[in-house]
Amino acid sequence: MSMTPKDNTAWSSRSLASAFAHKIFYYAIRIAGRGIAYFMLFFVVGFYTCIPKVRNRSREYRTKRFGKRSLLGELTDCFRLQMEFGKMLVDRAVMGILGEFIMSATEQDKQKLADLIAQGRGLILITAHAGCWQLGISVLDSFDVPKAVVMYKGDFDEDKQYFEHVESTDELPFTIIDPRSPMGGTLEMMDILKKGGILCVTGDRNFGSHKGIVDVNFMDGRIDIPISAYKIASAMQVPIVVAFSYRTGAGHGRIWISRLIDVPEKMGRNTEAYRPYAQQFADGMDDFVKAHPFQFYNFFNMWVDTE
Amino acid sequence: MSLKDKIKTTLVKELDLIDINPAEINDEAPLFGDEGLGLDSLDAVEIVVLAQKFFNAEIEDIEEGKIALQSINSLAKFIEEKQ
Repeated sequence: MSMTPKDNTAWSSRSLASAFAHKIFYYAIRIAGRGIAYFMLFFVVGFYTCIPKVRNRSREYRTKRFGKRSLLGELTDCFRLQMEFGKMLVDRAVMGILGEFIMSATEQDKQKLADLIAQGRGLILITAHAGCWQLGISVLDSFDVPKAVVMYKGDFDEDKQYFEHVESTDELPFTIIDPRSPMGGTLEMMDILKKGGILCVTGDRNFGSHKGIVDVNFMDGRIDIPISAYKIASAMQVPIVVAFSYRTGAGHGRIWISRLIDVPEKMGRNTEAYRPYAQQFADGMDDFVKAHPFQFYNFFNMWVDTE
Repeated sequence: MSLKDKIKTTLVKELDLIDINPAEINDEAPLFGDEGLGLDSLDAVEIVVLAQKFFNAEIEDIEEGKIALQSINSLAKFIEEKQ
């Protein structure tokens, strides 16, 4: 059986809006705070929702999640999805400019993290492009261990919007590891884990690579996801926490630990061997989109066709 | 058996490189990429673990790793220095 990406090249880190439009938002946030930015967002999102090409980006996800909808239903779903995404971007900018964002977790989830970190083996926290994933890491501030985020810094501006508000990445409470660096950043990832630190990765996109990926079931379809986190966990015997964050209101978010994954030692190089663990992550995403359908931000067709 | 031969045999066995004969591995060939041994970035994790487990040579920092994981020669040199 061969699996081919249906529309895998459609994802890009390029924002819909121009850099100038972003600057207007940043200026508004500096002057009047978060509320005015949400207000402006309402009209911007309304405009983009009317453009069929923009709606097409999330059509596959929305169809799988909500079923076939009337035009009005489709417009409403698309507006809500993009509005949530826009609010997350505003929250991220507010965090960068004013330093305001409150991330919480249940005492039970905090304790789970504390217990795993106390083992001193390091920890891989795997999440998805959902909720407020880039702000979710702030819930880890209370743990005094090194932290790193594996982040594909796109050639365009989507991924830069938070970082352009800090003087340098030295100010960040975590290290950024670019998977395009030599040896895929693997040595940097191992270094964090060897120090008992926390390595945060997004596990839902493969960025066009044909190596080190497996297809798993997600929302009654197949998607390709990378196995890197599971392979590192196996080789280094590090536990994996599948966690998702979601916005609960203006400037507020919550992290939710979906499940823990223990990958056995000596799993070897066979990519297929990691499929059950990748599937556990996809099952976690399935649970997430059922609970928070408008906070899943893969604006491209991530499903693959079976030939 | 020389250290380089031990490294080659260990890599082939532990990484399941079933199509590769250890004796045919070029000492200077790159370990990663399409040329040479053709390993990918994730195999670096396995090699770091193997170096420690079988040769008691811990790759302690990133720069050390980047130098050591170039080829069989560089890996052998690193292990010799550590032992």
